[in-house]
Amino acid sequence: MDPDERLRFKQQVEKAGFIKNFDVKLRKRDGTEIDCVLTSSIQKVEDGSILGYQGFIWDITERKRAEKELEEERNVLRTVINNVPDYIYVKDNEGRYVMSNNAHVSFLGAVKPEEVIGKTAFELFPQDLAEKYHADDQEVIRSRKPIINREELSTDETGKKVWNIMSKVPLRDSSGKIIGMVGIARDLTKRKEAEEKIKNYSKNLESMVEERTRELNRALFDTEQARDRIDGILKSVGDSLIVTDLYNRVILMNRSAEDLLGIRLSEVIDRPIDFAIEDKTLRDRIKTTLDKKKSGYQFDFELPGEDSEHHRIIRAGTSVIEDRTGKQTGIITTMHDVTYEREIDRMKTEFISTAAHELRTPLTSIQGFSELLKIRDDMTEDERKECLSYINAQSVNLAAIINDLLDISRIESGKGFSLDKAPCNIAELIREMVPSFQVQSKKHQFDLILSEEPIEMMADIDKMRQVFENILSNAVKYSPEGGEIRITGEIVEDRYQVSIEDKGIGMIPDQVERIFDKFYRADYSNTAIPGTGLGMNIVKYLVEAHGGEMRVESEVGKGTTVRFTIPL
Amino acid sequence: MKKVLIVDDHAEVRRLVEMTLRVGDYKILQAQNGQEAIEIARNKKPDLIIMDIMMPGNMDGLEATRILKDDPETKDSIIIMLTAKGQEFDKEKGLEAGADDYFTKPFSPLELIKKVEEVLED
Repeated sequence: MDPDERLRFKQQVEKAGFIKNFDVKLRKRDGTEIDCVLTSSIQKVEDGSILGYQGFIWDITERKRAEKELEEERNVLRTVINNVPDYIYVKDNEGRYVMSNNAHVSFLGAVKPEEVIGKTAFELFPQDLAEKYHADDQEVIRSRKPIINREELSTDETGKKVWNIMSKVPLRDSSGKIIGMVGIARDLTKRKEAEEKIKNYSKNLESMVEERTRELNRALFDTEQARDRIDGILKSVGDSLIVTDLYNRVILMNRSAEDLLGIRLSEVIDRPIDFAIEDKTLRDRIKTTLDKKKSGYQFDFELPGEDSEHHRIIRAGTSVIEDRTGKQTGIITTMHDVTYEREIDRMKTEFISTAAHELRTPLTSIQGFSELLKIRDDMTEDERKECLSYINAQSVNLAAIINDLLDISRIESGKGFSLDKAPCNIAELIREMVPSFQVQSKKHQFDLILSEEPIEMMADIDKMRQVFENILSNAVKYSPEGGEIRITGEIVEDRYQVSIEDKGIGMIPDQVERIFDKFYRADYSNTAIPGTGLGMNIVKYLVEAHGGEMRVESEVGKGTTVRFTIPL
Repeated sequence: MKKVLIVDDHAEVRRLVEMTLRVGDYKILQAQNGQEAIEIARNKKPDLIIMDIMMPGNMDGLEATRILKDDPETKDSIIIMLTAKGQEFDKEKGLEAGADDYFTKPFSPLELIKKVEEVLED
């Protein structure tokens, strides 16, 4: 025993006569120090002199060590408990705080645990919250079932609303008896706020997306409407249109172009024009339009027609498409079937040369015979008369040709004829006219089949004469071998119908179809048969001007029948 | 007496040429189409043929001229084509077909006589 300890022990035991539970460190014989507790009393003899000390020594080294370990463990636990950010507290069965860690203490607005220990929730929270907490606590204690991770609203020391996540578990002593509960809680406010923020943000985002989508849809709708409108315009344009991009791919074709080229846009869209257009001229022009820049091309090309002999002539134009900034975006090609116009042009040229030829024939006679009359004085009287009759007949012929030309120009200009209508008898007119034709052509036999009853109608007698002259001279011209020319006049319903039937060369259906076309001559390759190609056009016009109708039937090698009606 | 064949589908024109040539000592032959012209040319060997280009039927004046000039029997006949005035195209075709000369319609009878005398001189 340490000498000082020994002295202290001695004084105490001598003063009181005994000592109880005296903590002391003793040294064993081998030198190791042990913790001991002494309980001792003095043994005195009669005279009061000290005989010695009697007592017990307990070696408590082991107990001390266990206590120390426990203390250290507690210290670790306390340190942990006090330093976690979670709120940790313990309440007894009556709801009084038995323990409160630092986080919990400061959550309650206190500084030291002592301000909390021994109090109940009713002293630290508003009434409603306190009641709720107390009920929860009692429920855990009663049911012995824990509450785990429940999120709930609370208020902090300043009264601000806070979100907590809390767990409450029953607390038992070593015998298993419930002695209270342990609570652990954590502040969720920040997370909740963040969640809320995210929720709001995503809600906001959603509505933004919705708004954008709406705008896009609106824009899309507008664009589609605009495109529909443009499509509608393009489709309604009579001319054929093809739009190609900078890489010569087909972007658009209107209906007219589809029909013209005999393909559908759906078959060639986004494909090179080589798939859409067979004609090399057209393809090459489209492809080189970009190099040529703004002016583009104007050109004709041919497409196969109904049969191998009849090509369609197409007038095409290409031009570069530029956007608002002047950037080139493609090529638009317009096409227009000009077969008919070209045919008209051809017929006009043909007509001019035919008309010139027609004028030349009478002029040859007039110039020739008149010059002979002038320079010859050896002619007989009969020969002179012969020459004069040629000159006279050809002058009349010339006048007729000129009248035809004037008539057609009158019809062309839209002025038309002013009909000088008066009561007249068509049958009578026919009877009157036929003999002069019969005289001119001995090869033909004119047969008249005319109804006997007197027919009267309102007509311009001169124009009707012109109509008959034309039809009869055609009948004669186109039946060069001669034969019967039958003229029938009869009443059909409320009309007078005249048919002139020859046994001539006739026409193929195509020629019949075009017989009323201006400048058209069924036999234009055969210029030996005189005619301007205007007669039938004029005749039809005159018949229709009288309110009548006209029809032609013909068969090659059999002959032609011209039939017309005039209202009574 | 020189023989002159007049080929034209218009009787009136044949009559005009005939009356025009009456001043000379010519034997006048007439044909109204190409085929007839070839037949007469082979039989009568005319010195001169005055040939209209435009005639109806299968054979026009050009074709008849070509055939006559290809045939050794008839190729010596001089051929004057009667062409429409101003139709250079026809003139060229006529000469190509083998015609020796051409004359345009309408014509002056005096000039036709001169032309005929000119080609028949040698």
